[in-house]
Parts: sequence; structure tokens; C-alpha cells
Amino acid sequence: MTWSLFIWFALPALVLWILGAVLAWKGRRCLTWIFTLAGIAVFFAFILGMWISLERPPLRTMGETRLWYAFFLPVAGIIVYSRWRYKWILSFSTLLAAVFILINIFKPEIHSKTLMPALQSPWFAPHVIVYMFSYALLGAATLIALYLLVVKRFPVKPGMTDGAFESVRREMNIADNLVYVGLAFLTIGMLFGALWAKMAWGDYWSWDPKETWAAATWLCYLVYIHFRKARPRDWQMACAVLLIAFVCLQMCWWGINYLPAAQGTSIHTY
Amino acid sequence: MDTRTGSSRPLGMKEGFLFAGGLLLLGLVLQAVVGEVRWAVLAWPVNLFLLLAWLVIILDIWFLRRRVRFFEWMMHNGAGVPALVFALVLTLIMGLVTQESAVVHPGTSATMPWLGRMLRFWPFVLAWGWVVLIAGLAALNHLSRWRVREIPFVLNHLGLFVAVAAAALGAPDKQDLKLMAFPDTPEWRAVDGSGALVELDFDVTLHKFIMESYSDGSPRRFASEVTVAQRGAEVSAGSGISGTVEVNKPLRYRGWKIYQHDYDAASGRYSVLELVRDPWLWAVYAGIFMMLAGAICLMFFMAPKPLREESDEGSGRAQNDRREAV
Repeated sequence: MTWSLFIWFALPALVLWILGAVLAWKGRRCLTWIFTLAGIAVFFAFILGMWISLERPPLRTMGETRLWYAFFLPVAGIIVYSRWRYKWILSFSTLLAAVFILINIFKPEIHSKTLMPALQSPWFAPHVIVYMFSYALLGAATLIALYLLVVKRFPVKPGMTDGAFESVRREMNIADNLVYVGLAFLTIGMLFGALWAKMAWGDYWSWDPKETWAAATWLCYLVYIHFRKARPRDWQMACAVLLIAFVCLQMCWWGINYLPAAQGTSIHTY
Repeated sequence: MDTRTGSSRPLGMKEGFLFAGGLLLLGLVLQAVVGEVRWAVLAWPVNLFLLLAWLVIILDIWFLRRRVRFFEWMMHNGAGVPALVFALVLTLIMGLVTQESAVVHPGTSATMPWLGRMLRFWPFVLAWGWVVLIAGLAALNHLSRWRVREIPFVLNHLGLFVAVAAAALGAPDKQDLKLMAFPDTPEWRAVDGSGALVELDFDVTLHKFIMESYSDGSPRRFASEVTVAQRGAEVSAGSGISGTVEVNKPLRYRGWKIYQHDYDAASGRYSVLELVRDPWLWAVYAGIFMMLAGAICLMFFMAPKPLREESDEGSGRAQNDRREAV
């Protein structure tokens, strides 16, 4: 399996996901499941093929992590769909997955199968996979925040009426759920990273730029959860926190590669 | 500070932000007057006494929570959210400013005097200390209810408290040494982070350095076959151990962990080993495992109940009417 075959797996998967998203709008639950899962299976076949031919999990380069992100978005989408029956969630997750697939088609990062010694660890796969799943869930939560702030905006007033909150209550409930599960995976990914760092570098936390931004991202989502409990009706501020948190997450994921303060100092560069 | 006087309005987030602002000011004053935080002062047994004092303070605050309104407020979100925001802002600044301790390449531009040494910057230390104090108090408060359903909350908050407190207080006791090992030469001298020579009570002998490369020349595996034994003792007497140290596979010896750190890239004549001893590690791990268990709980027990969209079949109506507790 090579990147040149990517398009032959990615496009059929994308078509299946789009069909699943359309069928969700039509209320055909069973067919939605079948098409979405078929797309997930086709896409995973490529990941698996890459895994076998690279003789290592495809998790090292940005292109490879985008592969997992594109995979987990429909997974998160179908979980959310079956739990909350949201018709639009699969359209959102398919759209985002399409963006990552297109980036990989037009800007492929083809790498050899070398894996530096620090990455040869049983912690490697769980650490990155758990993080990618978390990013997918938190990405979906960000979309809901954007949707509420931009599409469904209300006159911004400090004293929100109950009626206005009632109309966003369902969306905020789903955002809460996505953040709780996403934060759980974010925490697990971070702590797996700490346990791995102790094995590889002798210290569980060394405030490397990547770790600093991971801590900032984690704190942001903690602010969201605690703020939601403190001010359950101030959904606009809560949505704003989600947007800030997602910016931190992007900084942690790839932004530090371009950040002057992190140049030449991060041990997380491969 | 009497609770019965004044208005009955509970202290909220506004007071939390004011308090965080006060801590920031206090931190800046401390930084200007006494200079940056000197962690080395906390070395054993000072950190033990500080930990005990801190625990006594937390217990006192908890016992007095009904009498002092401020203490009651400290264990809730009114104090918690601003504390998290305070720590977040300083952590973001840390991410945006090149940190001196992290600079590994010579020639990296000079760092800022205060913000470039964030781990020793008083406001940063106070912010994280404030977050951890609140987490500890909240954990104690929920623990004292002695209910099974409080376990997830306690795991998350106590886990953070234990992990961060042990990591910060234990940092000065951590030993991190580099040892340069040449083949078949017992070595007991190592260098610490400040460049000072440290003599160990054991020898490390390198038998063989193994280097494997990929076809493109990049390193695939490097490893050192070593024997570690008490100084002057015969290896055969059973006091020592032999093994292979490689990246991701450290060797343990009497509380030390020995890591493959570096090697002589030019000719492979020597191997650089890193020796780490962290007597507080078990406590940090206890906190980490509590947080891991707490994260699982977060997923399954702490997330609010989903409100389902009206489905076509009308199933799940019962859940629709359920209101989540806020």
C-alpha cells in the first residue's frame, strides 16, 4: 500500500459517507448506518494497508495523523448520530473529513518507513490514536459553538431570557457531551504521553513547547466544563471558550511547528 | 471574617477574578523583591514539612468552611473558574515566549528575564498552586460526603492535586545525571544539569555499544550493553546487574533508572547514559492513575444525560423529558 493508492480508497469512502449523510437527512437510519460504516471500513482498509507496508503505525507525519483524523470524524459522527439522532451531524463530520482527505490528496507527505528510536514504543499508537479521536470530538464541539454563535445568533445581552436559552439547550447539551468525552480522551492521551516520556526521556513532564500547549488546551476545556456548571445559561461565553480552546488545540497539534518561540526547542519534532 | 455580617449574596466569579488579580500582584511584588522562585530551597526535608503544612492548612480550611464564607467559596466554581483562567493565561504566555530551560540549541535568541523563565516566575507558580489548592479542597469536600457517586469527582480532583503537588515539591529531589561510558572502563563519575561532577557509589561498565541504521543512514536502534555494580565489589558477588539499555527501554538499578541518552556520533567510541532518580515518582504516578481512572469516569458517569432529538418512531421519548441537573 502506498500514498499513490490513497485516492482509490479515500474517494469511495467519501462517497459512502456523503450517501450516509444524505440518508440521515431523509430519516433512513438503517441505511445511514450501513453506508457510513462501509465508508469507515474502506478508509480503515487503507490505514491498515499503510500500517502493514510501512512496518509501523502510520502516525508519524502530519499527513499520517490527518489520515486518522479523517477516519475518526465519521466514527465520532456515527456515535453522536446514534446517541442523539442529530440529522446534521454526519454532514458536518463528512465535510470535515473531506477537507482532511483533500489536503492529503493535494499535499501528500510521502515518507519512508524509517522510525526514529524514540518513537519505537508500545505507547506510540495509543498516545496518538487517543489524541486524534479526542481532536475529532472536540472539533465537532467547536462546530456546534460556531453554528450557535454565527448561524443561530441572538441579540447579545448579559441577562439572557429563559426562552432564548431554551432554544439552544439541545445544542449545548450535545456540545457538553462532546467536550466531556473529548476531554476524557485528551486527558488519557496526555497522561499516556507522560508515562511514555518517562520511559523514553527519563521525565514525565518537561514543559517542552508541545507539552506547554497541551497543558493550555487541557486547561481551556476545564474552564469550559467548570464555567458551564457555574453559569449554565451564559451559552455565548461558553461557546467563545470552545473557540479559544480549539485555537489552542491547533497550536498544540501543528501550530508550534511555525511558532517562533518553539523553534529549535521542541523534542516533539519529527 | 464573619459570615453572618454583610450581604447574603454568595461570593461568585467576580470575586474569583479579583482574588486572582490580587495573586498576580502579589506574585509580581515577590518576583521584584525576593527574586525568582528558587526550587532548590525545597529539597528534602523542606518539601516534606511544606507538604504537611499545606495539608494541615487544607484540613483547617475545610473544617472552618461553615464558619468562614471565604473558605466555603474557595471550594466552588466561583473561585475555580477564575483560578483556571489565571493558570491558563500564564501557561499561554509560557507557550508564546521562548523558555530558557528548554533551549537546547546554542544560538537561539536570548529569552525574556521573567517570562522566559516561567517555571520560576512567581505569578505562574502561585496560579498553579491556587488551582491545585482549590482542586484539593473540592476533592476533600466531595470525599467527605462518602458516597459512591462522588468517586469520579474525587478521582479527577484528588488525582490532579496529588500529581501536581508531588511533581512540584519533589522536583528538587530529582537527580538527573549524564554519564559518559567508554568500553570496558568502569565509570562512577557523572555530571548534573548545572555541570557539577557527582560521584556515584556504583560503577557503570560499558561492554558493547550497538548501532543499527536504516538504509538511508538514519539511526534505527542504539543500545548499550552494560554492567552496573556497587563500587569495588565483584560483579559475581551478586551486587550488580547486567543488561541492555536502549531508547524507550531503561535499566533499573537500586532506585535509579538508566537511559540511553546519546552516543559518539562521529566514531561510536562512547555512549552517553542518563541516570535519573526521582524519590517522589510513586506519588506522581498515584495521581496520574487516579486521573486516568477519573477520565474513564468522566466519559461514562459525569457527562450530562443526552437530550434526544424527536425521532421518527417516537422512541426514546422518556429520555426527552429528562432534564439534566445543572
